[in-house]
Amino acid sequence: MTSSFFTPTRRSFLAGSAALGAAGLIGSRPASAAVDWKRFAGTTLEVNLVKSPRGETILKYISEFEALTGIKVNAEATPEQQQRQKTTIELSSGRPSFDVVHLSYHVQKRQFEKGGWLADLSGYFKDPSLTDPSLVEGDFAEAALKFAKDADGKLRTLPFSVDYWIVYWNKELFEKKGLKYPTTFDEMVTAAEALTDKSEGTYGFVARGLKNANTPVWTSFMLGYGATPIDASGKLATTSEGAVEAAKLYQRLMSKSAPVGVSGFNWAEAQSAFLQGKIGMWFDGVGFAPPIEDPQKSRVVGKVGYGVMPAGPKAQAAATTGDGIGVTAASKNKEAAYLFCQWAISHEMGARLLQAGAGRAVPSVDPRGRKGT
Amino acid sequence: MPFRQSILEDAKVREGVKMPAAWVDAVVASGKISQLALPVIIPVTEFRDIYGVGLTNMIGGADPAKELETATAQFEPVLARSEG
Repeated sequence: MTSSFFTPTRRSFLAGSAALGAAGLIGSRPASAAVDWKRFAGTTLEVNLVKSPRGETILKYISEFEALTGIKVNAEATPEQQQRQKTTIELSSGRPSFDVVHLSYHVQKRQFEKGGWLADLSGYFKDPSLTDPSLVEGDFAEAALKFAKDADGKLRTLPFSVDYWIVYWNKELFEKKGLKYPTTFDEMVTAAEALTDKSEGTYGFVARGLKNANTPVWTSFMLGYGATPIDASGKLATTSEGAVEAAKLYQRLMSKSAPVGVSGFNWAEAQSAFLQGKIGMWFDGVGFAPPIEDPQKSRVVGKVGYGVMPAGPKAQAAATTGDGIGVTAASKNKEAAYLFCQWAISHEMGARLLQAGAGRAVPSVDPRGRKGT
Repeated sequence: MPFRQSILEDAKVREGVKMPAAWVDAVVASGKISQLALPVIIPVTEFRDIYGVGLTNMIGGADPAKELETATAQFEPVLARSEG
């Protein structure tokens, strides 16, 4: 019998996993003999989560954590915008009602760090009595570690869920034109324009055009020009050569090769257009993929390639957004809370997240256009 | 989508993924070249709002350099206030 990420002596945990039919599907990891998961038995933790497929995956399996550790968990999951308001108010008061908090890196990281709201997890991460040996920095993408650490290199969260920006491409349309998947920005432009035939209603490219939602498209292109909106000295660099070149690329793709009305498209409209089979390439987060292979929703089932971002003139980079989970600086139960965070990003839980296709939150509907997505 | 590469590369885990293998492959490959998509600042929403208007204008034919100059002039004081 293979063992779990967690100690195999916890029969109740394994029984719970078996009941889920998980043993064969979610994979297995070497056992951790060093971590005493029962060390904080009897503790009660308050956990604040975002109501999303990711947060709900945690909620669904919390009883396993409780059985494993003897820790009682009171978890609350609220919609994204409400959760952000609540956590900001409570954390800024210095007396949050929760020990564990779920945050959006690309929206809240700086705010949390400036406020000093998160505990330093660096010591716990290095402590073999608290951290499973499989949990190492080398298991995370570079962006994950940048997200998780503060400016001083202290670990403030554990990276929970990621969304990389990729290019979805319609292989059938590419084949008709004798084209291959682009490996550079120049090739992407060439392919987009070759694929566009407005008389047939076929377009080479689609991405977000709606204000606010469209900004990550541009900043993603910037990475290929070796540019970022804030430079190494912390100054705004949004008129740099790279920023302007990225904007020109955005303009060219979106004005010459995108469907009519694209300036009003958020991710949902772009996705919908791509699913109709008349778009060559769609650039957005990888977590939006599942409907593509659903015959009830898609005309491109089995016809789509999933492409890594082509290289720009100076770099090839996959733009990354994500969520983390951390322990509040005010928590009286930091080590127990750290165990919870570690469990939430464990091999088993990550496998469930991946297999459920729960990598992407269903954004709350913001009247101004689904902000924060 | 989990951040940990060992999960994404675990053959047993991948057996249970309903999406095509190419999708997971794209995730794994992207992880190796990952960079932050947005600046790590407090006024992210304002950043997206202000530059987003310029980008939408560009689709309609506005000059990219001028739009970025305008947006930057609007956003600089917002950023300064947030860090003050």
